[in-house]
Amino acid sequence: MRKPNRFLAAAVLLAAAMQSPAWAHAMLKSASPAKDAEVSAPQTVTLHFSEKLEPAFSHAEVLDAAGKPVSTDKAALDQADPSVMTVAVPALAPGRYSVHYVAVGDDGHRRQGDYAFTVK
Amino acid sequence: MDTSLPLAAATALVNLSLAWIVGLAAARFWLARDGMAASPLDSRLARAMTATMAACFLGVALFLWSEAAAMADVEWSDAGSAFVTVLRSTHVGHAGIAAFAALAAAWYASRFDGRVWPVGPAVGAAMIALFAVARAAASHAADAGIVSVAVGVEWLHLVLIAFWVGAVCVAGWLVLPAWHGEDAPPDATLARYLHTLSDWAAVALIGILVTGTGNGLRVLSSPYELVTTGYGRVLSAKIALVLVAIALGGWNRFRGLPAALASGASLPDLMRARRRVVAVLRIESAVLALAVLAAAVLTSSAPPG
Repeated sequence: MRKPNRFLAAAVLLAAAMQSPAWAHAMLKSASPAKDAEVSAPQTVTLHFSEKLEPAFSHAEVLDAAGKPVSTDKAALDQADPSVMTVAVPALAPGRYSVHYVAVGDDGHRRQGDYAFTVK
Repeated sequence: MDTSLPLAAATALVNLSLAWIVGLAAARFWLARDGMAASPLDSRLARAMTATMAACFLGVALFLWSEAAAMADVEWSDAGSAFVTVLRSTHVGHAGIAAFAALAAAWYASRFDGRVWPVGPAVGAAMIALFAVARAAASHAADAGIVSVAVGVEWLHLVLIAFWVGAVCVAGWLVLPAWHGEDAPPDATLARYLHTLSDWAAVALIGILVTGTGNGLRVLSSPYELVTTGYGRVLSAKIALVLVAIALGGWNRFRGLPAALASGASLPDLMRARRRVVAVLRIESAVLALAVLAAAVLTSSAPPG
C-alpha cells in the first residue's frame, strides 16, 4: 500500500469484491412433467429449484386450459431437500395445463413463473 | 431492475449503523489506551454509541418488516401477518432474531465500559461479532451451511467493511473536531490515534481484498453486465465511489496526516493542514455512505435474468 497504482489495483479488486453475492436466486432448474412436454396423466408435478425454499411463502398450483385450478392440495416441499416442491394432482383429462409457482428462497428473494405441459 | 426500496433503505440503515458501532468501539478502545477512558471526548463517543445502537435496532426491525412485505408480495403497510410468519418460520427471520438478541446484549455490555474493564467491551465486541454472524448467515453464503468457509469469509468481509467505514466516519465527525476544542486531547494522543487508525484501515483494506476476491470471481460472469443491466450500472457507480474513497484515504495517509502532524510547523500551517485532513475524512465518509447505499440497493434487488 505504498504506491498509488497499488491503490488502483486494490480498488478494482475491492469493488469487484464488495458486491454481495446476489446473483444466485431460487430459479426453476427442472420440472416433471417438463416444460412443453407431452405426457400421460401425472400424479404429481415436481419442481426442482436452484436453492432451498421457504415453505411458508412458496407455493405452486396447476391450472387447466381455462385457467381453473386443478390441484387441490397445497404444494409441499421435500422434507429432505427443501429445494424440491411437489404438487399432487387428480387424474388429469387430456389437454394443456399450466403450472404457476412462487418460489421464495431462504435468502428472502421472491420469484414467480409459469410453464405449460400437455397431457396425452 | 426489481428493487424493494424499503428493503434497500433498511439494509443501508443496518449496515451504516453497524459501521458506526464498530468505529465507535475502536475509537474508544484506542483512546482508552492513552488514559482517555473518562474524558469528555469519551462520554461524547459513548452517547453516540447509544444513539447508533438505537438506529441499528430500528434498522433490523424495518429490515425484517420489509422482508416480510417482499416475501409475501403485499403492500408494506399490510405486512403485519407476514412479519409474524417471517419471525416464526423463516431463515431470514431466525437470523434477524439472533441479530436482535446479540445487539441487545452488546448494548447491555456497552453500559459497563470503563467500570468492569475489560469485560464489558469484550462482551460487547463478541456480541457485535455475533450480530455480524447472523447477518452473514442470512446471505447467500449460507447456502453451503451456516458453519462453512463461505459464511466465515462473508462475516469477515462484513466486519472489515464496517470497520473501515466506521473508523473514517467517527474520526471525521466526532474525534478530530475536538482537535482544537476546550477539552482537546493531547496532540500526542491524537497523533497515536491517527497512526493506529491509518494502519488498521490499511490492514482492513487488504483483508477486504482477500475475503472479497473469491466473491468477486464467483459473482462476475461478464464485464458487459456492468453497463448493460440496471444491476450492473448500480454496481459500476459503487465501484467509482469506492475508487474515490480509496484515493481520498490514500491522500490523507501519505499527504494530509504527515502535514497535520509535522513537528516544527507553525501553528497556522498546522491548523490549516488539520482542517484539510478533517474535510477529506468527511468527504470520504460521505462517499462511503453512498457506496453502502448502492450496495444495499444491490442486495435488495433481483439480479438480471
